[in-house]
Parts: sequence; C-alpha cells; structure tokens
Amino acid sequence: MEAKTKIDQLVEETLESITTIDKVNTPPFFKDKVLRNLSQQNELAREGVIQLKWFTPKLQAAALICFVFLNLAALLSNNSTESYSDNVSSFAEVYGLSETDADTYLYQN
Amino acid sequence: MEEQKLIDALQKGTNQAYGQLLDEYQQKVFGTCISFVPNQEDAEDIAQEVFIEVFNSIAKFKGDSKLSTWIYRIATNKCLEFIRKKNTKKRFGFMQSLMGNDTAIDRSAYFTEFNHPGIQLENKEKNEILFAAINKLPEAQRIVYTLNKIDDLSYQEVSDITQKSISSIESLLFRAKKNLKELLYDYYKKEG
Repeated sequence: MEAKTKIDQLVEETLESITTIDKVNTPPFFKDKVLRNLSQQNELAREGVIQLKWFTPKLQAAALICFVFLNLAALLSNNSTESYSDNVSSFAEVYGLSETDADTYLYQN
Repeated sequence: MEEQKLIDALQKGTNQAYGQLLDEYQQKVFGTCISFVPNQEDAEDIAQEVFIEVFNSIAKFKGDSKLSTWIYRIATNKCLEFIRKKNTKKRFGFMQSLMGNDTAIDRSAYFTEFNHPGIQLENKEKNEILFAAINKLPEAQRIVYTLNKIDDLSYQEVSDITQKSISSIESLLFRAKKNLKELLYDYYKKEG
C-alpha cells in the first residue's frame, strides 16, 4: 500500500515536471542560416535549369529512341545461340578445359 | 490586412518578406520543434527545414487558415516525420518489436539524445522519463499533449492546427494523461 502511494506520488511529480521547462531561445544566427540555405537552394535550382536548358523535348525524345534502339540491338545480338556456344568453346579452349588434338598427343606421349 | 500584405510579398519572393517572416516566426517554430524533439541540434535542423518548406510552398497557400496555423502545421508534420524515421531506425536496431516490449517506456531506445536547454538539472531525469512516455502515446494524443502542455498553445490553437473540434482535443488530452499515468506507473513499478 505504501509502495503504491509512493509510485503514485512519483507519477504525479513526473507529470508536473513539465511545468518547470523553461522557454528556449532560437539559436544564434538561425535567421542567417535559413536565408543562406534558401539562397543556396535557389542558386542550385537556377544552375540546374540553366544546365539542362539545351536538352529540349525534341532532343529528349531522340535520346530516348537511341537508348531503346541500342538496348534492343544489344539484346538481340547477345541472344543468338550460335555466338553463345562459340564463346563457350573458345573460352574452354583458351583455359584448356576442352579435349583437343594437342591434349590427346600429349597424354599419348 | 498586414498578414495578407506579408503573404503577397512572400508569394512574390522578396527577401525582405522572408526576413520579416523569420523575425516573426522563428521563435514559435523552434519552440514547437524542441517541444516534439528535445534535442537542440535536431530541433534547429527541423526548424530550418520548416522555413525552407514554407518558402517553397507559399505559392500554394490559399489563405484557408491563418498563416501561423499553416506554419505550425508544417512544423508539426516535419517533427512527426523526423520522429517516425528515428523510431523506425531504433526499432530495427534493437529488434525490439521481436522481443515484444515495444509498449513499455525504454529510455535507452528514445529516438534522440536528450539535450533540452530549457530543462533544469534537478528535473532532468523526470523530464527524460516523461518524454520517453510521451513517445509511447498514440500519435493523435502525442500531438495534442505536446502542443498544449509543452508548447503551451491554447485549445483553440491546437484545434486549428490539428483541424479537430475543441471537444475532441479535450478528449484526446484526457486519454493522453490517463495513458501517461499508466505508462509511468508501470515504469516506476518495474524500477522498484
């Protein structure tokens, strides 16, 4: 019972402690920092606009078509099975993974 | 009328208007931020973000509410966004959700380092416990309790910011206080 009263008192004191918090002033140079951030942001936005001004919608469309075309071409050339098996056999030959005439002679000798 | 002139000047983007807005609202915005996030550096960063957001979206401000209410709303949302992000990081960091003790007060898992210059040394521990308990409240209760009890805004101001009726604010405050009592009681009971 005594413990409960003690806990209740602690709870009340903790809730009351909120009234003791003092007002905190804004940190010094806060206004300057905000204005500087804002002007930096504006400058960056302006630079971004200037840098991309030459990239007109027509050029954007042309770039997109080129990109799609190049990707399709690369995809089609890579998909052909012949070139794939050629690549595998040449890789195997270079690293001595395939059975060649030279290997056979070597083992026979 | 004066407010309308300031809004017009802000929408035109004049530097003088930006300066005037900062002079008028920097203390209020910072006060709100440090009430939600009791760490001076974090509160300053959030307050800066609030003003950047205000300047960037002033063109969209239609005057449906007072300018101060609109700014307070932005500040509250920015603070909640910050707390949500930090709370998620902490939760994942300690795998608390797996251990199932997410509802109890845990000062070590508080979302920021406690550093509130307005808190007196003798009350620091109690205030830390109270802020940790507030962090456990449901969001609606937390907002209303923080704005009214810590930031010292009136019921009417809280009602305007949260777009809820005054009776809802009273009810949320009542429930917040009740929940806080329960949370604190459990905490002190565990502490022995």
